Amino acid sequence: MTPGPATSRPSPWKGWAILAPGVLWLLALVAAPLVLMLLYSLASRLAAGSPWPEGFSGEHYIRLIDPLYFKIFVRSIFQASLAALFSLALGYPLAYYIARSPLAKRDRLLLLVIIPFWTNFLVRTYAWMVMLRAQGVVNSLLMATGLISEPLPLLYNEVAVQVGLVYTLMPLLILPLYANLEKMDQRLLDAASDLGATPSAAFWSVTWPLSRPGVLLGCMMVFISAFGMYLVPDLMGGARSIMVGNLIQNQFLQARNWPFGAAAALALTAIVLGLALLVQRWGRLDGQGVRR
Amino acid sequence: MQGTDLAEGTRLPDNESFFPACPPMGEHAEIYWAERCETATNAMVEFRGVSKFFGSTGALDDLNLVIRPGEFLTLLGPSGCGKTTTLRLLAGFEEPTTGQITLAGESVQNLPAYKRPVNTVFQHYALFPHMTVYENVAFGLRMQKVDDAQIKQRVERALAQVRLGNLGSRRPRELSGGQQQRVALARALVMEPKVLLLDEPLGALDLQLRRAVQVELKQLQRELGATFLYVTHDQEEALAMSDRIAVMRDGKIEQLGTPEEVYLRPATRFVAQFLGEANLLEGTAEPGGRLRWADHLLAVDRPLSGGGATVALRPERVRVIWRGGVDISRPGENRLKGQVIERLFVGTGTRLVVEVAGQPVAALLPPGPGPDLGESVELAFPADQCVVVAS
Amino acid sequence: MKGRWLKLYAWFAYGFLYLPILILMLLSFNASRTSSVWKGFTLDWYVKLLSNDLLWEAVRNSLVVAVSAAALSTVLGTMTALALNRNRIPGRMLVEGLLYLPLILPDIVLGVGALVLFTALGIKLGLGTILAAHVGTSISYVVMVLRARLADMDQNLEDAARDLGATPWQTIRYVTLPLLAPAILAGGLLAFTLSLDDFILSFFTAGPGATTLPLRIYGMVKTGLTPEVNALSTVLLLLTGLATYLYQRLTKNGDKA
Repeated sequence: MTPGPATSRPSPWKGWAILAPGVLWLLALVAAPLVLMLLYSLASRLAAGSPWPEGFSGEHYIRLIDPLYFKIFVRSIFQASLAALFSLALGYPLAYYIARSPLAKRDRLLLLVIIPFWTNFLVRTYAWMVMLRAQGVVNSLLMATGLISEPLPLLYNEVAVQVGLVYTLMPLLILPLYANLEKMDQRLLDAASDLGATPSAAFWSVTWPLSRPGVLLGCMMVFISAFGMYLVPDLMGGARSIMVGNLIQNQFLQARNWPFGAAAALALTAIVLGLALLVQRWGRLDGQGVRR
Repeated sequence: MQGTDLAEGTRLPDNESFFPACPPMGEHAEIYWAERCETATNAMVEFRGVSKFFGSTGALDDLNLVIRPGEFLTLLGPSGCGKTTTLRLLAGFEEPTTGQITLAGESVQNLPAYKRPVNTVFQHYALFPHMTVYENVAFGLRMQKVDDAQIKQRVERALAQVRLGNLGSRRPRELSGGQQQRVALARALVMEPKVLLLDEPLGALDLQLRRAVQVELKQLQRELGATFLYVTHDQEEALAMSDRIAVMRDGKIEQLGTPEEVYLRPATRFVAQFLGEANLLEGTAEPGGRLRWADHLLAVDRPLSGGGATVALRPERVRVIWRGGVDISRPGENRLKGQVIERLFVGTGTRLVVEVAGQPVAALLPPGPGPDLGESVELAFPADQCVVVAS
Repeated sequence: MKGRWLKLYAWFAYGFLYLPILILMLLSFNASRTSSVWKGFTLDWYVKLLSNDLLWEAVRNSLVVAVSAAALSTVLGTMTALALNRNRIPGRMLVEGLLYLPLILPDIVLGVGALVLFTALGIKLGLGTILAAHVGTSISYVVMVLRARLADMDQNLEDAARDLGATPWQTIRYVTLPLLAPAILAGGLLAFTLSLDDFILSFFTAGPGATTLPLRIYGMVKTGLTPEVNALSTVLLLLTGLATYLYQRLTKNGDKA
């Protein structure tokens, strides 16, 4: 039995002293707000003249089930799931390609994915607006070639939102998936081929199952980002394609119904955390087929 | 027959111990008596009743060990036997679960690693990659706030000692494995520690280099008169370099003695098999003290009392009498008849396996002609080469 | 695998990723106010950018917040990562859970949460609240970057330092931190970029007069799609490209001597 890393003998409280500032900040800005929102969501209304809630009521959560609002949640889940699937379909081959490329090229290829990923979100969303709007690139092209005489309403609908979601979130899937594929042991594929598997069979029986953790992680990240998205439906969607993010923003900044907004936000949180837990349990596939 | 060619201190006269304060402790007291009864004043390091548990896993079980000043002591054993744990306990990277460790007479309980006057040469060197060789070696002195002129003098001397004098400004990654190992050594030696701890430092070197470095290390240790605690799983290495070897298994010391003692007089089956090769002959004791084994009656190195017993017999001590060879057996030796069932050339000689009454016995022939497969031969070996071992 | 088809697809995928932004860059030089039809080359929009005072104010605000957020997040994140590395911490699971939250929760939840917090406590919204929110979410990212590097680092090096007489503080100062330096820088750069790029957190925690660049761009996009936004986007794209390249360089080193 080989001894593990050195056990530090400084008392655990010394460790906490260094840990404290960061933890305090997180408690203040992440944990406390969640608690506060819970309080707000269970209140009847905001007290007059003060920002604090008063009363106790579950009405806001009940209101979430109202078809009007429930529909928004359903739509958001639908859009988010589709975005995850499209990102997977479009992103997996690219991640695979980069992982299979010679080492020298890989860094540059990866950089080409990271750059859009790090580019300002607004800029990327706006880029698609420029493409799809009435005087946008697509319409101008179609009109210039005489295929249509009037611009198509490509923007401000659910399809446009979906395009925006996939475009902005696809790199979120490619990167963890690439990390997973890169570590895969090439020799397993050699073994499969040696035993008579065609490239296609080898992919489905070896590569695909082993890439499951990366796939799950990537899809989860795309789903969560899309599910709570505000910007893309706000800029590229219409009144009939609003998502949970828009609802929350509306309740907080326009309708000023903070308790209801908080309830919606916490419902969003609950769904997201539940999904994360599920994926963690389900994606237990450590170390198999990983080189090293 | 008591062994007369043994180093002092491994055989207890049957009647009494020299140290009345130490009561006889049973059948295998011989193995430990020297350590338990040795006084603390002539010890550099003493482990007393040391146990170490990691959670519920035991790594060391009631370890008792005295390391004498100026000696080269090796902890030898397979992985998981606790040898590295022992080293780390002395270095201060772990604390014992029970027991006491003293260094030069003083307890090191709860003394953190950076305050202990011992230094370690790590298995993979652990050289600081962001510092030059000079800075690496000077590091410990810097931490002690030694002045720059002193540092320069001592570092240069240490580098000269390991013959790396002109490489001070290089970075570790620019050096070969052997050079890195020497930097690690210099870095520890420059601190003039009371005990130098070496954790399998030669593991990463190739065979040729390893042999050369073994010789150098031993010479260095003798020159400096330093105390070395060396950890390895390589028995050849241990035999070549050590003043004493502690053979360890499962957190305990199975045998402690000089290389000769441990090799020629293994105390247990495990030790016999771990160091070199051994034939283990299991049989029953007969009245008269001999061993009944495979229908033969063998005289062994000491009279046996009743019950089952095992003896270890080294293949190189077995003489083979065959058709084309000279019969150089002596009176009173054990003789066995059998057939050659295996024959392998191993460079330093020929290894034969001879089947005697259904049991295989290995013998090592010196280079030269020898019996063929299937031939009938006789094996001869003196009684004192049949070492009675505990199971 | 299917070598040539895969390569072709890769080109298509890269095209999909880059086409819109390349077109955007192209249009920033287009001498037309509203149309996407090419009407001639011009630098007018860039000139207009330079004289847009509100924009520069937003840039300044963003930079101030981003630099401060990067500094604070890096310090706090480094301390947290070091404290969690190899020490016995009672309540470790809770701390890990807390660190995990900002990484998993959608920004909007964190944004409205921060708004609720500040309002309930009577704290006036402004650049300070934006900064507080940014730091709160960035710490987790910095910790993540540092942990990756710490996991790679030869653990024996710290043991060696202690063996040679370095106190825990000396070990951190002379061995751990120098070896972590590239990761710390990378973490800082990450925090900087996250802050600069952030929209949703700023959206909820900004007060009047505390406009950051993304908020300004949002306003510009909402009120009228002026080509100035195209020019601004181009500038941001180029800067991002540079920062990304730098980040990759910084996170590459291993220390196997």
